[in-house]
Amino acid sequence: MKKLNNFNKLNFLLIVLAILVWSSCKTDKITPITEPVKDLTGTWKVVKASRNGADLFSLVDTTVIKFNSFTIKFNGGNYTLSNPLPFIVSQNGTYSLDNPQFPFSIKFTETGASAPVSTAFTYPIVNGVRVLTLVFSPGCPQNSYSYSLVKVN
Amino acid sequence: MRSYFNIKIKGKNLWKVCALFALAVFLVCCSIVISQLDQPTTGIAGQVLPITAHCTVKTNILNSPILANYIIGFLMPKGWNAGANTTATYTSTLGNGNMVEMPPSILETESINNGTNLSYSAAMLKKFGIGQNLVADMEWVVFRSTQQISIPNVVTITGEIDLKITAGIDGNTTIFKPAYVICESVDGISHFNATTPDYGYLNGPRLTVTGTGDIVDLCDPLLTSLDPPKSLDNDFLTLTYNEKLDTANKVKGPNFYLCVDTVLTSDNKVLTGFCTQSPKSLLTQTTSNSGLYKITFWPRSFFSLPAGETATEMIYHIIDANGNKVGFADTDEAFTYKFKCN
Repeated sequence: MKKLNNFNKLNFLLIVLAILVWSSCKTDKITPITEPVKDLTGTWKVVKASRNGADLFSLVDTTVIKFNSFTIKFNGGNYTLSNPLPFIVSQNGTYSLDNPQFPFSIKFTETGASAPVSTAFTYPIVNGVRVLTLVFSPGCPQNSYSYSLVKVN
Repeated sequence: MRSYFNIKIKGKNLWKVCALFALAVFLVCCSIVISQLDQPTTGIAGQVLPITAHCTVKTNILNSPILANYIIGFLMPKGWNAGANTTATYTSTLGNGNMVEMPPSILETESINNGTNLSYSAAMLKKFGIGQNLVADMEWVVFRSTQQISIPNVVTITGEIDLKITAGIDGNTTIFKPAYVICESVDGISHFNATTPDYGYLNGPRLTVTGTGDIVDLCDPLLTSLDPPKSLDNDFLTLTYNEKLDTANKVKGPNFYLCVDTVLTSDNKVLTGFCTQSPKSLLTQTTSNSGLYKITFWPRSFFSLPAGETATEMIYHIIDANGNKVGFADTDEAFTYKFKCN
């Protein structure tokens, strides 16, 4: 009789364990992560610039060539330049990305220009700050420039 | 520190020598020497420049024979576009044949091994720079044999590579020092060790090719030099003045200024009024006592060019605080810089 009681207890425990195991299992529904649209809206300033790999900030007299005054403002498909420097465009106009979620290039069209100009485009987050890096040739095609810009607060 | 291991090997030194010898036998591939170079020191722009590089290759190859292409790289002014204006052939004790320009998609062996994955031209620029020249407006032009050659072990190969370069297609008078690299496609420009390269390198003599265009001196120290060497008015331009080359002491420091006397434009205007002594035109010394003074400026802004106006040429001097001037070749004659890309 005592053996039978022990047997029942064991069975009971196994059943409880099975219920616990079964109830702990559930199907995880993985929601696909949607890549956000890259929004450039805002005013951007240059924080790093190079010409053919050489740092321009250390080459220029920044009181004469004012990199910190040059800005580009993106707003509703338009861009506006302030205090221009050698750049992919020299006049205000419109812009678009080749892909709103995964852009590889940005296209600028100056007001009145017949054809747009495109440039390589990266948009990483560096030290918690979104950095827009553009590579272009404002003069001779063999001279390559890279500007890194961050949003002005 | 005392070793925990006290292993005694009989004839230890003999074994060390044998091990080194075995390594040398199995790992050294090729020793390539450019034994003689037939290169003229003068030429005429637009005419063919014949160059012959004689070389000796001693092989010592594990798992021989290997199949490899002969490769030659030669350092030329970019303005010559020598890749499209050169024919190359080779003769050797393992056969003769033609050579064609190396496609940039073919990666150099050492750069593959170290993960940088460079074309042969880029790898040679990284390793050998611009040779004995001073202005970086140069490129390594690389040709390879159209056929692969079966190279056996422990053999000495002698041969010549003949280049026929149509010189100076830009029409300029160009002064520079060519350089040459010969290697094979298995090892590329790698090293067996620090003192044993798998390639042969040789600096050629100074070459002057006379044309009707500008004078482009790529190898002599100049009173003023500009970087980039080819630019337009919408590039940033860095001008360097070498005070130590003003042996006539025409100007006195420490303050030197860029004095642009005249700017010519694409619509034939002659602009003046850019010779000032101001912070905008002040050159700064690179490091203390270097004697090198630099200014980086944006020509469109420096010349206050309106939209649609393009500068084609600037004529300039370097002046000091007292207004004394120095120009081309340490004389009063002005320097000239043309805004162009080719």
